[in-house]
Amino acid sequence: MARVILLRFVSSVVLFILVPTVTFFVQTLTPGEVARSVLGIGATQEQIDAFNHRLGLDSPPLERYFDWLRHFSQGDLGNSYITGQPVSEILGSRIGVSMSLVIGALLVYSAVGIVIGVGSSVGGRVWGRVVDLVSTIGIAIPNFWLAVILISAFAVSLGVLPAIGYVPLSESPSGWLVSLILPVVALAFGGITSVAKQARDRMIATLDSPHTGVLRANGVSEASLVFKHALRNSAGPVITVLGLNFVGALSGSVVIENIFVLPGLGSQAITSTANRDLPVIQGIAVYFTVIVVVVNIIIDVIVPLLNPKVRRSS
Amino acid sequence: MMTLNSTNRRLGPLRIAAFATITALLAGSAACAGASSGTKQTGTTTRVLTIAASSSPMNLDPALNGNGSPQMWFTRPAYEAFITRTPDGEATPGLATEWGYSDDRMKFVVTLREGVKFSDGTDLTAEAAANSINYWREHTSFTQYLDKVDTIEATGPLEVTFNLKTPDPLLPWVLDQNGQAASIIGPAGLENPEMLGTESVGAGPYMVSKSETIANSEYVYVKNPNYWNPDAQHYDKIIIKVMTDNNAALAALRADQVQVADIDANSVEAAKAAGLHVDQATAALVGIYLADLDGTIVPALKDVRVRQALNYALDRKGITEALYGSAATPTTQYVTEGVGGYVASLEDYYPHDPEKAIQLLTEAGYPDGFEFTLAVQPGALNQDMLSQAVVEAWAKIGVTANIKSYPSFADYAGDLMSLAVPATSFNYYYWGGQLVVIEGLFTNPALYNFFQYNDQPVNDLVAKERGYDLDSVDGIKAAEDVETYVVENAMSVPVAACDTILVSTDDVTGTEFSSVWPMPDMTNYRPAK
Repeated sequence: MARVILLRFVSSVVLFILVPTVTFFVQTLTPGEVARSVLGIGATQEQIDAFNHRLGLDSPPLERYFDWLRHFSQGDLGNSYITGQPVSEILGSRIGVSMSLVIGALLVYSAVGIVIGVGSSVGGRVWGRVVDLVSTIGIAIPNFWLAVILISAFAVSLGVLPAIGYVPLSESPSGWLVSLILPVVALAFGGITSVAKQARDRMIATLDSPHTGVLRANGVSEASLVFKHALRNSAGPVITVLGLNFVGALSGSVVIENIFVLPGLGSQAITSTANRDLPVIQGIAVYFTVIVVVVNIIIDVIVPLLNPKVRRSS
Repeated sequence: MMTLNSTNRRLGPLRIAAFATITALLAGSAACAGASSGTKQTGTTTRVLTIAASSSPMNLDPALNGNGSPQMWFTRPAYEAFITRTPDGEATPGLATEWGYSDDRMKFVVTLREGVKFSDGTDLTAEAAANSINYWREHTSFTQYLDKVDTIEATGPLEVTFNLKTPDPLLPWVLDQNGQAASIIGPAGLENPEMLGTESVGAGPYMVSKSETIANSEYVYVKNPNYWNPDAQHYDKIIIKVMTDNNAALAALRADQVQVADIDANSVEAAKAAGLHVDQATAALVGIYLADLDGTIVPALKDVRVRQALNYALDRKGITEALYGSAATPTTQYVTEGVGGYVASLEDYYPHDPEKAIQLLTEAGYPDGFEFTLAVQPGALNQDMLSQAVVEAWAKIGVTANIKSYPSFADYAGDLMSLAVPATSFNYYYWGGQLVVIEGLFTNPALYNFFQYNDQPVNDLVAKERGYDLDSVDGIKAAEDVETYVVENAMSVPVAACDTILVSTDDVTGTEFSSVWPMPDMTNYRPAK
């Protein structure tokens, strides 16, 4: 187990360097100047030169890259070209929003998806068909469309939930929860269906296995078979799907944050990319990499704990 | 085997019901918590105005921010200008109490209000004001606004003098709250300009709350305790939320989370149907700007007959109705009715006449048409759709325009400046009257004149116009002469005069504005109750 985690950390270091490096060069080699974005069409060449010089943008790309890397190794992500704010300050105020949204979605699609999946696996053919149908619909419905429908129904027509905005947890725990309900549901919906289908398929496979047949023949109760044996055996693949969904939800959050006007990393990524604000884009790449790596490590830890076969092989 | 196991693993209706109950409880607990807290959210005692803006500011520093709405909204609360325009365009005292030109119109003298302090408590002086305007002049991209000014100096404790190189009747506009040149920044901000991206040091009614503001998402302004006119602070807090999605803005208005929003033409009917209050006034010209009038990369554009053909090819009425509905008027000139320089007979100077367009192209030596690249400016007012419609119309007279789109304004501006494209879609606000538009498009220098062509008659006519006050009889006549020349010579392809549209709930009043000064100013807004 320790070896797996250690290997993960080592590969993470490579990712931490590789992802921002690719981001840097893709952004740097793409046409378009940040100076034009900040100063506008009418800026004189002198103004543009002064702007570039002040931010060190007149240096060769490699020199700028290694300068960024040196600061990064000291934990300094630099300052925004546009506002001059430290990148860590900009993203620090947004990470909580994105994490609230994505973790909220994870909790919802995990709980609801597993319940539906397990329920349908023991509910016979009709329930299975229902889950298949709902899964197909869930995958087909775009989350941005669902978001608009949810706003229209719960915020505009019924008036029970806010249409937009985010309330920090520190300001009001209940307000925080309320502000997250619609965006979390919109983001989680597709995940619920894929988790339910995965849970159902794994449960059926386990319940149909000879091993379960032996337990059943020995008089183990059906409830014990489902909750104690089959659920635990099915957990590994389901958790892997949860992890994949989590990473997918990170990218999905970009759209959801925009619709619900949530000040998260996703909406910042859109603005910074349009403005060519490279330090912020680099920072977002680092934050997203950290999140993905941490999620993968958590999965690597949890799956062997639940499944002795995986534990032994690792 | 399969059938047997399937049968055996059924748990029966009771257990299935248990699963359903758990699911429902999970969902229900969340919903209950949501509903109860939702009511609490509205129970606030402070007066808060929440505005939805359709785009982020370029910067919170007035020298680096754009103008027009919604850009101006982000600096307006914290920075007061010398002159405050009322919604109908009247110039009223702001930080200045008096202003005027010298007899020879080579000086513009401003007298400042006594006793004004910046938000950090320091005094407004003539020297501080002059330093601020000089800082703005050095850093802004709107360099043409003050390019007729030689020096700006403090000529008394509360007197600022602009020494001009040539007469310039635009100064009372450049120094208003939309021009932003005289949105005076305090000495602390000038000493440390980096801070102006996240904080404010102005003499406006509010100041940026740095701790509550999240750049590009939500900008929060709280009362400036040192503001000279506390009676004009109608709210305790102003929040501007960046909402690029019109549907989200309308939903937020209907849910009473936002009181005011700017929306585009496509959402007007939905806003009206939802019972929201809609203010709109003609605000901006949209069309195609022909940059390469010297024919540097597309020789055909140098010929006035070709440019006239491009104008005759368009069914402006059809395009305008299709793209902007009732929120725009087709036009072939550069200012709208009510603004000096408007000439009624120029409004439909190039009626839709494809046959005449083909005839003009043939006379110019292009019977088979020609080809060029058309840049599409990213951003507002349906310019992508407008460009598509124009290109289709031109194709019918044999002219091929290849659309070039850009992911960001930086990419677009870079392409223009490298002289890679001969024409672009554009929009231009009518603020400041006709002279601002003409000096932005056709003189040399001009904001859009990146090919730096020199049309001497335009330069001469505009020089004459600068010798008069914009609203004087002579000034209006000179503006009409300029307008007639640029339209007759088809110096570009105007298509429509578009409205700025503001939607508000019945919680707020004072949202009206006019085409003379189409810049909604939230410091005029008041709680309705």
